[in-house]
Amino acid sequence: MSDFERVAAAASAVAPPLLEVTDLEMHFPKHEGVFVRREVARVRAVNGVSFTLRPGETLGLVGESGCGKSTLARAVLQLHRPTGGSVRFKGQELTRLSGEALRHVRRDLQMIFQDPYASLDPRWTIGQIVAEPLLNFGRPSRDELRARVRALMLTVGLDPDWVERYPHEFSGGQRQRIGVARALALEPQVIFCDEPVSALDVSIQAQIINLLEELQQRLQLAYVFIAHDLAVVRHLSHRIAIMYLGRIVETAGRDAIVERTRHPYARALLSAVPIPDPKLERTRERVLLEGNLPSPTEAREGCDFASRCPLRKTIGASDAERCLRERPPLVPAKDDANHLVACHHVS
Amino acid sequence: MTTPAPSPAAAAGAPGQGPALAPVLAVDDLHVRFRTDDGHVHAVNGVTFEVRPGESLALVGESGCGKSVTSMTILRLLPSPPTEVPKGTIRYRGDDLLRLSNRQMRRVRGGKVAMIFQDPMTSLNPFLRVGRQLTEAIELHLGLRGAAARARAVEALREVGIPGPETRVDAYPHELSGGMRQRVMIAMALVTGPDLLIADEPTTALDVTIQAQILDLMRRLQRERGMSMILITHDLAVVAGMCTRVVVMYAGRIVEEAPVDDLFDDPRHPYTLALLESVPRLDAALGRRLRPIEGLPPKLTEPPVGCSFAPRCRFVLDRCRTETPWLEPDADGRLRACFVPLRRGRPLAPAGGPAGAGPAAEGAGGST
Repeated sequence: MSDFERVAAAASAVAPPLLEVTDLEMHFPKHEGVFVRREVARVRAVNGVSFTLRPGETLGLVGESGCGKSTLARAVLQLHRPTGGSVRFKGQELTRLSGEALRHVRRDLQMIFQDPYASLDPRWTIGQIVAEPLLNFGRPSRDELRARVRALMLTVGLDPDWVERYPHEFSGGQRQRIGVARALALEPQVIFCDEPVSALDVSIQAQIINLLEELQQRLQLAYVFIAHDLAVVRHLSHRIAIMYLGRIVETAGRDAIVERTRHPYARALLSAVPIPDPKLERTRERVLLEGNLPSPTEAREGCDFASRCPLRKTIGASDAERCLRERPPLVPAKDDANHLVACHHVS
Repeated sequence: MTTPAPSPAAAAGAPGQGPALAPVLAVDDLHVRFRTDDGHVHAVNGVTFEVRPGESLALVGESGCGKSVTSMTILRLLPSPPTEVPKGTIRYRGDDLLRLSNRQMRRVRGGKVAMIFQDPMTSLNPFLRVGRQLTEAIELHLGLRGAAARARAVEALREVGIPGPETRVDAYPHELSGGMRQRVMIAMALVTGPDLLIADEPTTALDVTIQAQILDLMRRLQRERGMSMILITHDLAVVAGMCTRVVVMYAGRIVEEAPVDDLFDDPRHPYTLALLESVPRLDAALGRRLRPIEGLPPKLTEPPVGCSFAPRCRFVLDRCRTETPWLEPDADGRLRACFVPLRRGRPLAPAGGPAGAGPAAEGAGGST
């Protein structure tokens, strides 16, 4: 365990979790038929995901397209109503809340989106965009509102004199700062960041990553950081969860998961990430996966990864058969209680 | 495309080191601009590089640096009214591509020089079966027809690792996954046996495990065929695993050119250094802050005066704002367009060099 992880573990031992997600399930029915619409299939986007998040902590959620990471975020925030499981925020069950009560909880749970071009209304000024959440929750006076908006813009590194400008006058990185200012307006405790830097050039990406780090330290924010770029996720997260087909297959401290990867899918994923070092790249071994992601509409009894698993060739026939029959639960590894893996053959 | 004014013997540029074989492609002092209502956008401003037989060269830079415009100009794929090429030559095996007739150009394009793009869905025709799109190139460039052309198409699909090519040849693009579509595009590009492949962000839209498969495929095919490749990308990590030589672009100019190991080991241009410092690495021992590049790239509506990177450069000197640094060898023979002698991330102590603004603050105590 690195120093970094020790500090994180010590901190998490004291603070009670802010967010507790248990067995969360988000299935979407697929209908067919013109006159009589009947359900023909279910897209099992999220299949029993559990995690906790503590104040000031960042949980990285990674996985490839279609693994359910964005849907998971939306289900936790009740933007999609989950079809099963529980989401507790400071002890309160969110899945049963609705209307005004839910609206109130959402002040504490905000979101930043990937595309800074699509998530800002082009006809609103920056001032209006940042002020909107404040007006939704309260009746600030004109002066209070002005002061608050200016303060928020300063916080995210924008010139407060730009309040009258429109989104198209800003670059991608500046627009993402506006998105961050809007998310901060109600002083939330948790921010879900869904691919917040993926659309940005690398030199600008670093500016936003540093901003998120600074804000976390200053405001004790907790983040759920969703991204496909594992290097960025490792840089920002305290803990990382790797998803495959709607389930978490491995979760651990950020160093442990990269340096002592256990799940065969996680190994393949990490080995595929290129590293900007030509000498290292020439000697690295890659685990190339075969085939494609299985369909999320199929219900399986066994392990979702079994059909593509590189271990299949090395384990015996009876073990391989077990993978198809019995789903491996996400359980702590024998030698590290903080390292959870869902595989019959590693731990 | 406009025919450029004949530019006689513009051989003043400094080509790569080493004698080597005759280059497959030689781009010399290329300028590309777009006419807009607000005046000209100077997208490429004097770019010179060459591609040697069998090598893979990376063109690296961020959005708007001119890397894609350069590659599109090589194949003359940009529409002519807004696009102008006021200066420069692009020699492919000796012929200046900018002066070929459209008819001659069609034979080069997709024949001996092929290109693949980021998004296969925009390059594949959604109304045509995969096989038909392949046989089109086979008929045009290889002169095969009917069953022979189809057999060649199936073979091409097999070569790029598409399972069940005999049936997939009849699939429509939408029936394939993103990785499979990119394989089809590679098959289309390679079926005519090109000796130069231009790949423009070929894996940017793909998931990382699929990216690994496609890069592996490209590496294998390039080696087997002894083909040259230009890989255009923003991703330095991809470059590290794929290329032998790297050209770094910023604001329409080349700022550094180096063998891949040298570039990553000891970048000689402040922009290259800044790029490497701004990306997090999966394998890095962390805890360090990333070092972003402050500010934004320049607008390209004015022809640049001085170094385009000067406003964002932490080593900037007074002369950087008025004089343009050209791509030249430094004391070690490394090519870079910069007045600051950079070694291992720090400027060399100015040994009786020009007085005045010395290399900015932080390099101060540093030696090599």
